[in-house]
Amino acid sequence: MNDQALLELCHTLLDLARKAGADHAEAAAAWQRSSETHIENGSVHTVQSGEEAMYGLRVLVGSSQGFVTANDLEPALLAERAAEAVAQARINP
Amino acid sequence: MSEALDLLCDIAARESGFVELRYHAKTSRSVGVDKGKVERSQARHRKGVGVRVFEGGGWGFASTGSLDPDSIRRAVHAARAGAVASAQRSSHPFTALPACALARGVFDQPGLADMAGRTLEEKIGMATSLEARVRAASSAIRSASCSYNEIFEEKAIVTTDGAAAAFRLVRPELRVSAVAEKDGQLSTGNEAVGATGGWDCLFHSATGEALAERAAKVAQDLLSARHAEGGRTTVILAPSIVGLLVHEAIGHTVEADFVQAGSVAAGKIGQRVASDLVTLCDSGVSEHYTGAGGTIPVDDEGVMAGRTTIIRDGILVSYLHNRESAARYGVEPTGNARAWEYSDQPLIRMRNTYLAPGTRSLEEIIADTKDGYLLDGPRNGQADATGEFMFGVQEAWRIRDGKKTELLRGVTLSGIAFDVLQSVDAVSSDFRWDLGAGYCGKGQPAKVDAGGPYIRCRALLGGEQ
Repeated sequence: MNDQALLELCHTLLDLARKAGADHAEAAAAWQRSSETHIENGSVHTVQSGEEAMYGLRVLVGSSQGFVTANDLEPALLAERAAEAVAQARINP
Repeated sequence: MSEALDLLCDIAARESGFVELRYHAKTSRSVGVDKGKVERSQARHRKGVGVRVFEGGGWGFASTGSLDPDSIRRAVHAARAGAVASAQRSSHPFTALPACALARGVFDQPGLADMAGRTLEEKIGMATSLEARVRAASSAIRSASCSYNEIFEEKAIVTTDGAAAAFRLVRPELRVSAVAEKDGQLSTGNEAVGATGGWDCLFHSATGEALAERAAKVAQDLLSARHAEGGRTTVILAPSIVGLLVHEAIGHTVEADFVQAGSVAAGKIGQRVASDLVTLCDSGVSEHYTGAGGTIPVDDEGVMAGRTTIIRDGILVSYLHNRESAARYGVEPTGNARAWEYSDQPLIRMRNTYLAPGTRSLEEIIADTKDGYLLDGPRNGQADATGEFMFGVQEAWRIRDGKKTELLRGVTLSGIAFDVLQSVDAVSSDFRWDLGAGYCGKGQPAKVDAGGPYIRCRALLGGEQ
């Protein structure tokens, strides 16, 4: 994912949060690719790599807060995550 | 769920050599209430596929957070490249994993429908109400907290040599803490439960209300408790302390990777390491009753996670293995390969570790103890590869002339674990899982449980300041 795609993801999350009933929302997203090699006693112990996009969504309903992080980017799930954050905020006394 | 299994089977069918594909979706929810206020309510959803390739004697691992088949194939390619690079500089004595029995099928665990049917409102309500109950228990209570966590997991594990298994499970946890104060002196009471299953498993031994009241009572009672004298003495350990002992001080020393690194258990298979009253096991199954917090039907290499007897009647009979270590030792894998999330490589980890119950009652054991202590509730502690350990203890009762007498505070328990097990001279018929709220740390967390009966043994007690 490039910077533009991450920005679009954040905007989508903010829109979904508002639609779900959030008064305020904050979204952050990151994409990372990692690689790691670990040598132990002259022998290769670990060779590993990974890639992942991750996002966090914080919402406020009144003064109550809800927070969700996830790495699933399917549109239906983004809406579900936004609704979950808002539901949390509504339940928090 | 079967979609993930089908997808991985389809990808594995097109690969050559040894490839292991693991889909892992995890949802964690957490609620924390402190001093009457909900301080935390959050959720985390993470899923993806971890891929291991073993080629030419080397391992490679790669992961992707995407379930797109092309992304998974790229991860296979990256893992294969890692394996080839690793093989050039690795000391593996074999170039292929020996065949073994591998799991096929779907192995969902109980409690999923129960937990999915409970609302967030109910969980926050429970945590709020229990925290309030602790504060209301006594005027001596200065603060209280309650946290509720749950983890839903879905896994599918497919290997090119025959594993094709999937399962779902849920692990709820509840913690209640109380702080009491009198004349400037503070004491705390902590109660925690964790299970694999629904609320019937979580509250198998006590209700949430009972846990809250107990945390408050312990904190209050400890305010007036004296310190113990300390010294080498006779102790009766409750299942909670037995669990901590067998996990931290014994279990880690028999993990085959630690054995290879030179733990105290190295070279001791077939030797007496404990009294003949001691039989110690680690199991993916919740033995004795359902709901143990470290339960897994299948490990992350696709091996069925049954029971492994580590010590039988005092004799060390097995280490805990993954497929590779089992091949090195010429034994069958024990189903102990576990990964915390999809992007973690499976390591040798414990599951539910316990000392098997005996035949005596706790009352009998106390009655024939002239001078000693009954210890319950682990507070903290540490153990190392030599089996040397030191644990904090929440409650210690003095035993004099066969009677449980006054409560003592600030007690620590230490010793060499295998020496302590050699001194076991009584084992009760009770059994309790009591570490289900705990996490084991070994580079990555793992949900585990541990427990056992009451045992009587000799150890070093730390006391008076």
